[in-house]
Amino acid sequence: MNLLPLVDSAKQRIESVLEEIDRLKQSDFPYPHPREALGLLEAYFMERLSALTKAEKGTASPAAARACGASLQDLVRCLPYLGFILRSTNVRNAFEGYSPLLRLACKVIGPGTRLVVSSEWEYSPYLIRGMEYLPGFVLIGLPASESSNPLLLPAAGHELGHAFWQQHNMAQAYSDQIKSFVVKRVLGERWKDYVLCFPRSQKTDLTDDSLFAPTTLILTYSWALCQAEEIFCDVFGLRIFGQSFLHSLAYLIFPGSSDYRSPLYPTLSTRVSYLKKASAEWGINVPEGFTPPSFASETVSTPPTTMFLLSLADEATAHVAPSLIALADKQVSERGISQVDRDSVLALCQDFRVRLAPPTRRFSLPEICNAGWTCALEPNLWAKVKQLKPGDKNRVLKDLMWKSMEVSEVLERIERPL
Amino acid sequence: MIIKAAELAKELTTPKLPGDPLIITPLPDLKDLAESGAASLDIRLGCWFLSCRTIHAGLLDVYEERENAPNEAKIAKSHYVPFGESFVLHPGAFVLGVSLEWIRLPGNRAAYVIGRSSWGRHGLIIATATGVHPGFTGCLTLEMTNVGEVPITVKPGTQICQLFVHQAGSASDESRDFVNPSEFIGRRKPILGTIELDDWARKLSRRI
Repeated sequence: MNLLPLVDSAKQRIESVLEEIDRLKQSDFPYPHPREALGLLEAYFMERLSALTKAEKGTASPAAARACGASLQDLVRCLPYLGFILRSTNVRNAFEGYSPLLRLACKVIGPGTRLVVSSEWEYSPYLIRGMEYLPGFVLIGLPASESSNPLLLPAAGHELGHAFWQQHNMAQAYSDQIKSFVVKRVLGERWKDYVLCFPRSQKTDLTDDSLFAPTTLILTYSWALCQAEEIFCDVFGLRIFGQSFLHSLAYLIFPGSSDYRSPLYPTLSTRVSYLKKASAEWGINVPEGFTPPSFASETVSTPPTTMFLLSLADEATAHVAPSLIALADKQVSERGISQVDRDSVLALCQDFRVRLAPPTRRFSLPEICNAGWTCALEPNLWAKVKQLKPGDKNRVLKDLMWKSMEVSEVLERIERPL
Repeated sequence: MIIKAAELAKELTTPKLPGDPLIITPLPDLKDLAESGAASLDIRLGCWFLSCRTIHAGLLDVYEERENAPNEAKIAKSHYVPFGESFVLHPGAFVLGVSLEWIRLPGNRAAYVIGRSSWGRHGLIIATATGVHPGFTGCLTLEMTNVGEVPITVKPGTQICQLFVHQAGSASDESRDFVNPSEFIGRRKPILGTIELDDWARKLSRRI
């Protein structure tokens, strides 16, 4: 018995995904952008189907095989997007946070930004990359178990940093700096270590010309670049969300993992140190205890060559870190996002604390997050309010925060002309 | 004694006791409220709804032991309708909505939520007997049903019902007392809640 012909199976696969997209389109979309994303994906697969239909006559041709392979690759890449879009409609998401986050994304990324926010079955917040299928879209995943927790929205600031980094091709801008630094470092102070790892090396093998980069250092370059991106995103989120970013980051990742150090990230203590440095530069108060606990040892038994390459990456990251902090500040400021206003935060805290109600005027998302954290950390918040049980504090505070976002959205819409 | 709209507008601007204010957020247009001559203020529909999962919900038996009772997620389904979108309430359908406004009553005020006659004439009945107690804070859960013969579309932000605010205690009595804690306080979404049975009801509902 023969196999199903290549083109036939490719066409059936595409038809199946188109049927699924059609079903997904019937979901209850709280906002138009997820539906628009589905429309783009549908149009893309329709084109693919049409190309395959044309290729059908020459089933055995290399061109047909290439078209089938390309369509398979598209499916592999796009199916997770469809899942993400579907999950963005789940009512576990607190949709009140969407509009203020979109407004922020439009300021940071650009006025036409399309945003899809979903609660995901991964604990670390993340940004979906590889958006060649969904140009102009930013897909941010936040942990499902915390989907009703507005205190963690500042973590989205880090993800917006990734979107900015990608959109402005910052990797390209920093790649040369990192390569040049690493080569100079190896040719200088680290030459003995380098030769221990790569005994047959000659200094003449090394050049900082990016076209002829030594293959021995490729891992260092890519690790350093990833680490630089993470540091940029951390300080980007800090610059937008102020102190609340530090609280949400600590909530999400402290005390860190003691058994594994991902080379793609700076160590937790390094991230903390750059956040403290940026906080000091920007006048942001660092919460007491914003230091990873000492038991969070990040050293593991790693091969010496890997240790050496990683230490070089760490040094390169440290070299570019000051410029990353300055860049985040400059870019956020240029986009009209001022630092979190302490007086506004205090006024909002009074609304929460004394009035036990959302504010009557508009507040920005960072202001709401900062007021929320301030109140959340007050041990005696509402202790004397007879109407509330002590165990209701967190629930009520979260609802007040979401409602404050909605009230700000309502007032923003009311102020627009009809 | 019902507090008239003009008086409510004053109270919203300058509470008699700043530590225990009357709060309606988003604030209604105070000028319109003061000049309305009404004895109530309009309340708008919020974005969250809760409907019954009829395929999961069996008999509603409030006499079932609490630990055996199905939880809210099993028998009710949440819906979010953003501003600009509609919720269609079919004839005979019953759904819980929520007020757009977060309301806080001071300790010397109580209120009743009453439907608006304009909606009622079209078949939409809202909150037939919802009392709001002194000290309540949060969004109001609204019981909505369509007793008409044609489906009705409602959109968040629409004035859907009205709040009659009363003096709780005598007008000369300045003392303030607050309702006991309950699961309905401090919420932004509608909640089904539990029907509490007191000792009398539990004893009398047992078979001899």
